[in-house]
Amino acid sequence: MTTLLEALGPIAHVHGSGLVVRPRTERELSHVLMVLKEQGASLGAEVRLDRSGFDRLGPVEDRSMTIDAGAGVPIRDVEARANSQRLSLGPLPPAAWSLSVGALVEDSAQASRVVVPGRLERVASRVTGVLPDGHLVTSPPGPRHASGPDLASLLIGAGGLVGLVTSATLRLMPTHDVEQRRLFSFTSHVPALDALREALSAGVVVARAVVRGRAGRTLVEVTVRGTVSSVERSLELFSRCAERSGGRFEGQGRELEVDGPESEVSWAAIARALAVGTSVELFRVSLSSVIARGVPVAAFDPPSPLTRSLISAFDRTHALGRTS
Amino acid sequence: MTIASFAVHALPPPRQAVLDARGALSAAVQGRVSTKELDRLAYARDLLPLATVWARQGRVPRPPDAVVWPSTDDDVARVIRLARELRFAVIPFGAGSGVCGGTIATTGGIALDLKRFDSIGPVDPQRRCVDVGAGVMGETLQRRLEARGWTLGHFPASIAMSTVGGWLATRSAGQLSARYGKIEDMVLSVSGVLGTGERFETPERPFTGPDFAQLVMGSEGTLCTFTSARLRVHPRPEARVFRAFDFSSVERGLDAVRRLFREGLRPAAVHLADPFASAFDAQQPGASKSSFLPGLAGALATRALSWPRLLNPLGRVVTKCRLTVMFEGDVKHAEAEDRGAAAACLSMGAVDLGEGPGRHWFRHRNDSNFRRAETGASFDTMEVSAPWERVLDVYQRVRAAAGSFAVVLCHFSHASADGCALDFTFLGSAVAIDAAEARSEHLWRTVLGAATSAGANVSHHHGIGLQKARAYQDSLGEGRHALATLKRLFDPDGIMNPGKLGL
Repeated sequence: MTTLLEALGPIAHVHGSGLVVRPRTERELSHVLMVLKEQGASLGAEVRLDRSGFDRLGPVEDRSMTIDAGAGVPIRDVEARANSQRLSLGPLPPAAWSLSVGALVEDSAQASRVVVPGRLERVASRVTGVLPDGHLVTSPPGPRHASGPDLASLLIGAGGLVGLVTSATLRLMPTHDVEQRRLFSFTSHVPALDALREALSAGVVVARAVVRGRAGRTLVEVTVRGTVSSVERSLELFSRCAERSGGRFEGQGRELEVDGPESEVSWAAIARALAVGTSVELFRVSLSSVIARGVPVAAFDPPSPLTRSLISAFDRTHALGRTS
Repeated sequence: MTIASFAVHALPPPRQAVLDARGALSAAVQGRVSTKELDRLAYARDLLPLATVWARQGRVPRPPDAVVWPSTDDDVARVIRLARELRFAVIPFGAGSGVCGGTIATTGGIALDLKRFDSIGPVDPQRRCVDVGAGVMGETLQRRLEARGWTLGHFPASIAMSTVGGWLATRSAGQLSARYGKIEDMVLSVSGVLGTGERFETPERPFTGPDFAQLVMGSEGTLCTFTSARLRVHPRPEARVFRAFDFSSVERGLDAVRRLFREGLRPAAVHLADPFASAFDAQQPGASKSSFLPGLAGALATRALSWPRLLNPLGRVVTKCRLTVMFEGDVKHAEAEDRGAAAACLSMGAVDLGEGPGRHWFRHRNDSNFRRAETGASFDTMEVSAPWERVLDVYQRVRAAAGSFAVVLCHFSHASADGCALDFTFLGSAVAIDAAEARSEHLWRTVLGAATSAGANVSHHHGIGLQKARAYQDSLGEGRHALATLKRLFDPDGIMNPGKLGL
């Protein structure tokens, strides 16, 4: 440990039985990874990475509704800064609010938000990070690009398996003027889920939904946010989608909740949970996947051989491990 | 960019090594191989503007040595494994509509035409997706989906002459991307064959680890070739509602577009034409005539294009520009959003032109490129994107950079809450072939440099190919190492589409 501590230099200190490194720049993080590589050590095992040194929180860019933030900045701080300009990170799932920027951007489920029509968009429009070989990766500027393979995918949503995020440009949205709920009933969970997907496809962004079976019916409570006029348009549209699936309007809703941990699940998993009488609470409701409470968490398939070879190609010495 | 060109009558013959391997190639693709001059000629170029200039001169870039038409993933894998063994280049080929030289066989090799991957599966109405072969033509796919009551929502200008595989390879964008996103936003998973000869299929969400599909899309055949994709579809829209507005300046128009998104409106199409582009569009047959710059577009004849130094400064005094907005989907919702857009734009001083100009734009949105090509003038296009705070600067700097040697038109489109694409058209008078090549190189170096230094990326939807390879590599910085690692992993022998992306 002494050798490792000396090699890491002043950015490392002993904490309990292990070492903690707290780099403040990409170059320092590169140095850490180089040392780990040379010494055959890895993050999580011998050394814990503390990214709180990446603490820069830039001003809100009002025109593109974005903000630059270091990986160590708590999401709540970002939200506070955004709120000061009447902007917000949006309706993030509850677990997201306890994360740092780096953890949010690297998390497979939390790294995306929903935009019309029910598709996923990354919460970060731009990201910078360091790969295990010490080299930087920065995604191109602009909202979208056709500039080769999307190298940001080595960082965004990749679980820190291929590289480590050091800063990101996060997308914001206007703070909502109103939040409204509507409750609908359906004959079963099948038309209820059809109505939800139909509404997403038609252009409703659902901030939150609760689906539960009750007395032979399935109740769906949807929450939407936005300007007064956009909420009105969205709820009218949702009503029409619900009616097409045989749904019936039941009132304003009562802010139903479901306890339990959140996880990213497929629509098929939600249907299975509802079929056995479980109530579910849905966040980040996209056509691709949903972050849900109440859905039994099936273990994800382990990374495919191809993904494993990708990870190995970038992290030959397994320098990356668990990060904080 | 340096690409060798050959007079058609002096087309280099296929390399002997390829002729020697013809039997093995034939076995790999069940006999569908050709080394005929006519076939090689047909696959020698895409729609790179410089290559179209060469075509008029009776010249072509270096052709592939052979063309193969595989029809299964195993066929493709066999061809790639053979190419690895014999060190031939493999150039995946869709429909050849790219404009960046992405399919030019810089070192010869084998053109791998994917058009036999033409299956369109049934739509899964619950999951809202469809499995499609990489060789399916865009127009065919859209018509087939519409007939079943669905849409992909992907309408690139090249839809009649591009394939699904080409879209994936270049991260294509359609004119309704403001709503449906780019092709990478529509993909649930992709399948294909890597440069190792290994087949792959990317997982659907939720999954663990990096998003593999995003790492291979946009690779322009340098890492893999695609054979099929599972794509998101949506119900065919009940209605399309159009409206156009005139604004007093580009700045005003851009402010209005941002405001639409800020107010929670989600147009399917947003198209803001700068003053020159507005005038040009208004002169297209059937268009409602522009009340500004009368006759300018008529004057944009080949002769007038020789005077860009005189024409471009007009942009400082004539500033009116046109915004076209289209909402689609549920009738009542689209109409309500249209009313919201009208209220926002009118409050910003716009003149409401009603639905006519918008409907005309939509009907004729793919016409103008062909018409420009018919004028005899040289023309080139560049598309980049930038965050909103950089958009105006990018526009002004590119206009200034190109202003001395081309008339510059620009459309702002593919908008989102955080930025938009800038589609520039550079019009110049026809010149001799040698001068055309020099001018093309000068133009690209100048305008792309101006755009990126002002905060734009290198490409929004045309891709990189050969044309932007150097600028792309420069833009990557240290990211070059990551790209090189991907290349080593997926194409260890460097046989996949050499030269593209600077690889």
